[in-house]
Amino acid sequence: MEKLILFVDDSPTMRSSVSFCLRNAGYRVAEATDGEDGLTKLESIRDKGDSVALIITDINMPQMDGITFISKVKKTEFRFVPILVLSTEAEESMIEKGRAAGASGWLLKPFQPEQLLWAVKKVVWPK
Amino acid sequence: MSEMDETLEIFFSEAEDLLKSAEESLLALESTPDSSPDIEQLFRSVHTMKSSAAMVGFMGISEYAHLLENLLERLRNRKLTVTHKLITFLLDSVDFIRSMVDSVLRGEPEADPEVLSDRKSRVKPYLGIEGVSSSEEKEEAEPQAKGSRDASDAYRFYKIDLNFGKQLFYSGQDPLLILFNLSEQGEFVQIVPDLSGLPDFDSLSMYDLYISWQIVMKTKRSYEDIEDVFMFVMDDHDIRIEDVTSRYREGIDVGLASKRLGEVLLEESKITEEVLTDALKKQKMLGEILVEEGKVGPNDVKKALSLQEESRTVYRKTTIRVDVEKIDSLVNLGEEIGIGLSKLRTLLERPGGTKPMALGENLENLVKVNREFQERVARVRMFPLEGTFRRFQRMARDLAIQQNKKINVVLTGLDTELDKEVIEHFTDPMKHLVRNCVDHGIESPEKRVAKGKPAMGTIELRAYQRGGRVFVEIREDGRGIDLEAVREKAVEHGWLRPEESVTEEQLLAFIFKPGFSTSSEVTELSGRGVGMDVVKTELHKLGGTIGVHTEKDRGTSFVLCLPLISALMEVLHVVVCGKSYLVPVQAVLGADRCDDHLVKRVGAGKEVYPFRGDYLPLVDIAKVLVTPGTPTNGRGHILVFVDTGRKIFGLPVDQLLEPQQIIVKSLETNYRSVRGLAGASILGDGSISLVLDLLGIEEIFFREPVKGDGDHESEQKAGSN
Repeated sequence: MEKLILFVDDSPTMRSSVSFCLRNAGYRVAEATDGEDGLTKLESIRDKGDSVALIITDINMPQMDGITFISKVKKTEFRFVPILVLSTEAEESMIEKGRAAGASGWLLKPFQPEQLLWAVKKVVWPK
Repeated sequence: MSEMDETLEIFFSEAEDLLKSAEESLLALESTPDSSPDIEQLFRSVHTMKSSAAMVGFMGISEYAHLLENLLERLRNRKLTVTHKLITFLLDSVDFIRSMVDSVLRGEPEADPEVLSDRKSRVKPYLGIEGVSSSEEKEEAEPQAKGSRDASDAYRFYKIDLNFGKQLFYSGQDPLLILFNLSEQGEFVQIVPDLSGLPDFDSLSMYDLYISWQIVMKTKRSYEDIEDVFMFVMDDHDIRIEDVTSRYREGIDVGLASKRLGEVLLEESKITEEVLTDALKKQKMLGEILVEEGKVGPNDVKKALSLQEESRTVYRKTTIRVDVEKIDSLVNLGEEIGIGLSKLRTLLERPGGTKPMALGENLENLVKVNREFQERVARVRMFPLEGTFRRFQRMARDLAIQQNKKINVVLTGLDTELDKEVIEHFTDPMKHLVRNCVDHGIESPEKRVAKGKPAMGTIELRAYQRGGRVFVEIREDGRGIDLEAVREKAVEHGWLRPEESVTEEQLLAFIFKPGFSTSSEVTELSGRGVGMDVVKTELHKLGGTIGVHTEKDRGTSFVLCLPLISALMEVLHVVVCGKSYLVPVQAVLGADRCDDHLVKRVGAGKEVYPFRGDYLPLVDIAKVLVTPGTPTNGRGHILVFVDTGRKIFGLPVDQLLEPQQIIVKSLETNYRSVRGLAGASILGDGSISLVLDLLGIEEIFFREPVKGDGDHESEQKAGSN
């Protein structure tokens, strides 16, 4: 089965364009609308006996922001799953916070499909 | 290594100044396009940038600056005119150099090879080589015969040290995935995991990373492509990528050739330092083993060894190992000369006469290529002292260990180049001196501490070029030479009456006398002296001299002054009484028109002249060298001021001609050695000119022998072999 990537972003446009790009490249994609939803999705993935190869998350989201989401994931059994941030946030202090929370990498919006895939390849084994 | 760091630091601060000054000149030129001083200033900045960068090995910067220099030379010769566009281009070029300097400052390579070659090609249209020149004719663009330079398509080698932090897994990274991604960028020549960080099994945590890797890879990808692999781990982990292409030939690390097995194993962390030292202690010479087993007599071994040594010496003397790259560049230059010549011929045979402008330009280009050719040919014989110095460093270290002494050997001026022959011949005397430093100079750690000195002694080997000669200094901070003991010894030998008073210098000269001390009375007394006469004789044969300076409990230093036989030298061409002489440019401080009112007479016919706030003696070359049949028709009206490193004086000359680069021919091998002359050279017009040995002239004129250098008669006798 193709590798599963969880994408967390409150913007429907972003979700659909990123999902399209990743699916095209041969990944399965699960979507979540914010941090809290992301945690829920992770639980259901686990319950189905599936595994996640990568999490990509936005930073500024309602309910639960990206930084909190990352720190929470790091307390679950998914803590060794690589997490890439995809955000408009370019503030050095924020990137530092993300890194401290456990993000593997930081990408800036707007994204170029090849850039995103290039980043994904860095943290996800090919099949 | 710290010397290198220091050099780099100096280079960086110098580069900053040069770039700033270049910028200033450019901005000034924009408002006054024809200002010669500004063009000169700009030219100098770029020129200095070129040579300084080459000095510290940043060839990219140097080559680019070299191209710019060519452009500026055309500007200087009014072959190009200053336009707004040109200024913009040059400012941009200065920025580019700055960006390269910044890169190396960050420890990165100067520039992407492709970017660099693109930048270089953008300079070329201004050089009048590729037809877009300002000259009235359009030549077909010549294929540039510089194959070795645009190597963007060639394989590069990178050495990559991966020291990930323990926490790598927590950031969702997988080291194996990173290695996998790296493997897609090229071919691993070598991959060595370092397992030394692994803890005991009991304290092993499965979520921590303990392994680091050292990788050498071969690839056509750029440095940036390789760096890109580590994009997400670069900041938080210790990742070092080094372009080691120059060390690798055909996939083999040629750096290993000169290393010992132990060093290689140590580097690959197959063994530890202790294991190596231990094993080395057990090591025996083949001769020793054979003698122990009674297979051969000790004398047979000795004889065979000396035969072998003799054969090696002859072999070393008559053969030379040259880096293929050096030869390749010669072949390329040879081709360029060929192209230039056929171009000239075409121009000359062109019906309807040739245009002198085009002819001149081509000729000039040819002269330039030829000069570079000569320079490189001469360099084939020149070697940096680094190898020799390293051997001495090693030797001192080994000797120190044997004698339970602590010695730090500091090397400076490693890239000072000397002729192969000179290096060969000065190695033995040098070895002697270094051995003496360890054996007799540096005290045992206990004694040193008792004297309030650091337990670790220091030996410094330093080389530099000055006044057309190369100086090598050996300095140690040991006990110093016991002058009283030297005195006693001299009296004992009858060289000195007991009550006779002599200067320290004269006293020290005795240690170079044959028979001063013999190896049987190991020189605890003088602390010095084993075979010093041999050292001096060997150096004399080379045309070199030795000086010594000592201070009780502060240490002793020896200064060797060596000639640059058949070496390339930059000289100032002067004419004195109708005869032409060459003065080594490094020694020249400046020149001035001689104002007769300022000449002051002191003593018997001696004259002095004010220069930079000091009265300097004027030395008449013709008189000093006593050239027969020379009309001594008064003093020359131009003064050239020179610094020999010990004295500053002025040389009156009649004419001052262009400085030029020459290859010095030894007088000794072609005629006989003559005091005051370092050699001869054939000039561009076919005439022969003599190269002045300023130290020799100084000696003759001031009647003061070089320190520790008593008899000069031997020099004149030595000429007849």
